[in-house]
Amino acid sequence: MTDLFYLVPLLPLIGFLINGLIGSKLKNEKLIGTISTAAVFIPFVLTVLTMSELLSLPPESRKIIVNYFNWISAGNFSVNYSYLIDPLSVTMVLVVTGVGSLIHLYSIGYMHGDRAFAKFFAYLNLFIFAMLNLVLADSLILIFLGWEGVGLCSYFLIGFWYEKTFTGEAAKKAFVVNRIGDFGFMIAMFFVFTNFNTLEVSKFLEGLSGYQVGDSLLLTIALLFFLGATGKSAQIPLFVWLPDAMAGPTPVSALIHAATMVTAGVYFVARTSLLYAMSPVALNVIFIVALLTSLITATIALKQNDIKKVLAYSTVSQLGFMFMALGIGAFWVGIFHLITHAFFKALLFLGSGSVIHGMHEEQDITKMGGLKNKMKITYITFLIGSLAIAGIPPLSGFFSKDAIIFDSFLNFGIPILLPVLFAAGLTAYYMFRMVSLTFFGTPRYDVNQLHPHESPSTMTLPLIILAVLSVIGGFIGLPELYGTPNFLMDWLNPVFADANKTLAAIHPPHAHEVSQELIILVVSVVVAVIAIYLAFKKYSSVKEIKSPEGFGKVLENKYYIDEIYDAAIIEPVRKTSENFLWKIFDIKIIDGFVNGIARYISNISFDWRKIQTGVIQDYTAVSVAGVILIILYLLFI
Amino acid sequence: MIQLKELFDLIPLLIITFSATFILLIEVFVKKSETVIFGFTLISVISAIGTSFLYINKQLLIFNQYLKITNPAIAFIVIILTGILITVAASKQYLEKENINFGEYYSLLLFAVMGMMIMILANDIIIIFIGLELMSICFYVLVGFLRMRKKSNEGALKYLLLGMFMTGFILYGMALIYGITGSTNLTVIYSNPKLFTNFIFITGVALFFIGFLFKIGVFPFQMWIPDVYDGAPTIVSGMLSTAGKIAAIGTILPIILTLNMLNFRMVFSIAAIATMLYGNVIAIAQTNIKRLLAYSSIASAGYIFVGVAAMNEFAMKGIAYYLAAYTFMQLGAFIIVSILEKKDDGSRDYKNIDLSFYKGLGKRNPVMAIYMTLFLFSLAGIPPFAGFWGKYYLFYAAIQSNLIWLSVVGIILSLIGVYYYLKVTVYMWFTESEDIAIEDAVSVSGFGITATSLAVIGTIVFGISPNLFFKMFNFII
Repeated sequence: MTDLFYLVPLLPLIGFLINGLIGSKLKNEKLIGTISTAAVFIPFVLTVLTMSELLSLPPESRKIIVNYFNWISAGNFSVNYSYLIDPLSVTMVLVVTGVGSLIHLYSIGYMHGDRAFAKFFAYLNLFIFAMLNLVLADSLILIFLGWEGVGLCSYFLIGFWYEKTFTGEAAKKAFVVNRIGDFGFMIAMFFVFTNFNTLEVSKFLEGLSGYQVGDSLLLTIALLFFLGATGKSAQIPLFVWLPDAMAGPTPVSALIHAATMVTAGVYFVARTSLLYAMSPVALNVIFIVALLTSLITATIALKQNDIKKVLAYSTVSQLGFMFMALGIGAFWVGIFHLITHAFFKALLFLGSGSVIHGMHEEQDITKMGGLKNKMKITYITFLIGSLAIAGIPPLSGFFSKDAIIFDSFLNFGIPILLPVLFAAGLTAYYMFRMVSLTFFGTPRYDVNQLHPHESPSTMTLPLIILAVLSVIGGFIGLPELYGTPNFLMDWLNPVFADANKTLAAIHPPHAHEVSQELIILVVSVVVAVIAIYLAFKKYSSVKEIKSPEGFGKVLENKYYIDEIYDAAIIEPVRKTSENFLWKIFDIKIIDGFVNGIARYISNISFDWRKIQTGVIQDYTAVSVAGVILIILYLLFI
Repeated sequence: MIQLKELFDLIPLLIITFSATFILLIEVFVKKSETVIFGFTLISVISAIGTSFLYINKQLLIFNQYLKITNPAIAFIVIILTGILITVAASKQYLEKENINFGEYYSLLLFAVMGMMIMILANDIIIIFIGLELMSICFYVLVGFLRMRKKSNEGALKYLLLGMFMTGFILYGMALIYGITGSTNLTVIYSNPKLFTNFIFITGVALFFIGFLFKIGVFPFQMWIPDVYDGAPTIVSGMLSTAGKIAAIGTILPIILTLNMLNFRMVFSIAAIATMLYGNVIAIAQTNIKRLLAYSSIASAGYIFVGVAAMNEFAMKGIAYYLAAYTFMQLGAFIIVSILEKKDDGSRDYKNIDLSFYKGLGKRNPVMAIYMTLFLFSLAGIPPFAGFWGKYYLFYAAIQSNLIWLSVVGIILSLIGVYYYLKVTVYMWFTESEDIAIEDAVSVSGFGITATSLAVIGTIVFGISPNLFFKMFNFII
């Protein structure tokens, strides 16, 4: 299967080229959508086959590097275009192409009639291509190419409806904020290259064996890479772009800003797990940042009224959960939550898209209510997604979140367990606030004006598939409590073997009893159920939403983080740029210097032009002078 | 002993020689012969290019050591022939437009090529001289080919007078070399390094080189270039500035590198700087595109001499590559000027060659404007076009010989050059044309498009994959 593996990234690229170059001439939405969806679905099938091939190998040898060509070669610097096929990358490809193809399918219905239908699908395919490069690449340069590529596509797609001012601003914000993270990522790459003389991840990780655990160089690299991850995966301090990114079309939010791109940071930390295992400080930093992010954004989500904004903050919060798992050193758990989150968050976003579609572009949940009878499929699937994210057994979110909660208890004890449980409870609460406001109670919109309707089948089919996945997705990683084999852990752990060994050497694993696990499991379910009950009770029959006061107002305004960033960073930078760098340094000093030289040379030019008299005697005289000078020089100097 | 089978070592030269002669005969026997001759010329140039590749990696000394086939020589010949091919393809429309569609044009062109090939292959200074004169005489006639035009006649006469004057130096230099070595054969001359410090020998070599510096247009022997290129039929200017210069460089470069007389290094360095400065600075003040390109070609000669001054193994590679790139971009630019030139209306001067004519060209003729932009960008040395790598290899060669100062000066001076190349680009795309009377669409013949497209392809392909060139001619990398 690895012979054909090059098709996996190639097909989306071809899809992009077809739709990008001739898409607007095809004028057939079905055809465009089919090409585009097939370009993602076929790679999914190919990857499933690759996975079965990997499974037939012994666990230690499930790592294949396919080298396609030498991409850059200059002196002793060389970059190969090579892919690393191992359980981790295959898992990521499956998520990207699997969820991706469902979202492509959904988009055919959602984007119906859009003036730039083909362009939209071209961008989606390009995004998939970049994302696949990101997760498959072995070279940091190629990873970075994918990293930037997904960022670029994200920029295009957030600003897809560019005639609205806000979308352009949001796209710009996403792009600029990500640049800060990318800066960290690049500096980390420079460190890797100067110290390890390679840019290939596999060689870099091998080279780590020459270092001590806790080495300050490794810590620096690890933190810089994590800075990159906070940009792409929206963690403190760089999470502010993600809520604004909801300005893009909803399928984009589902694909890029929930299921795939934003998990790139999680993936990358997992990919370089050994580096982090060898820098315990970095792991602690990750855990603290993740926990804070999770708490802060979960509280913000409590008071948001835009259906997509709630989901956006929820995404940031859930990404926090994934990073928490990584921070503990439970790398496979992070990926586990990444997978289940991809299912239920894509489901929720697509469900919200269906609601918005049915409500004729209304996004404010305070103006909805009672939709459960009007949009049956959307309602049921949305409810399943909400239960899954809230952590109700036996849905997928329950297993992955429970693993995180339990592992943080094992590592840090009760003091950390409480805030983690609190964050989990908040999740359940804000989700059911939203579900109640949207689907229950009485309509708060003008029933005479607006007639909500169920969406077409291209939209509901992906919802159903994703709902099924959200229900059963958790069974790939059952806790040992049940005594059943944990498929995902066994599948992924060979990738993390070195990291786990290093971690085990630092902290010998705690012996724990099954009873502890059972208690925590029950507690977390109880917390979720109570939160759901409270939310449902408060909001399911509410007639009118008052705007919050006191702390609620702070939450509604997102802790004024945007305003703080604006006052503390953006304004000072803008003022310095404008008043000094532009008006004085650029215009007076640089321009003055450059223009001065240009004017000088231009003047010389007009003077020297007169040398060319057009008189042949002059030419001869100059030539003879030249001859004499040359001969004299050669003979006497 | 000269053997008949040695003729088989010279197939490209024979093809060109035969065609040049035969074209004159076609005129006698065929009516309306212009099209036939045009086709015949194209075919013979193409087959000469094709057969040239047979001689790669065949180091040969033939005809009593009068001729020597080497890989660099083949490379130079192929570059020249490619330039000629593009020139010929673009010629038909231009000659028809200017009412000078005569068969002897092609014959003269091929005789000139024959001269170029002979001088590049020569292993004897007398043979070099024969080739050089054959080429030069054809050039004098070609420059004056628009005989009804004052400017063309003036250019031809200036070129002839100065050319004769400089030929005197070459001959005198050859006499001195012969006097001190007792031979005209280069192999013999090379074989006696003790003489290289003899002042008569040095003087002889210096005078010999100076004659070629004139042909290449290196300061202070560049004065003729703007006047001649401005006066000559535009298509001929393009050919002169590429094939003509390449032949001269291809002839002396191996001699310079083999003699390796390091006391010439300073002369070449200073000449290179003066040439780059002169070309790039004065080009800024030009208002006529042909003169602008003429100064651009002077500047290019300066860059080439940065490589010559390096006098090392990289110099040959770098110069050969630069010349290939230069052929495509410089010739391409001249051809576009020739295509856009106004049809002859009996007046005494060229029309539509003012820079102001190029204002708003992007709207009137986007394809030509895009092509022109590409050539200008390449000439300015902007990646990923071939011109960028050309300069890169030249400056690289200089750095390898520790002439870092020379490369730095060269890079600064080539930055000045960017100004006037971009000026034309800005005119084409970002300004509106002032003169409303300008003819809207210029019809471009299929051959014109083919010729310019060939140049565009060369500029881009060699730019993206510079190694391709070295692989083609088996340069050791």
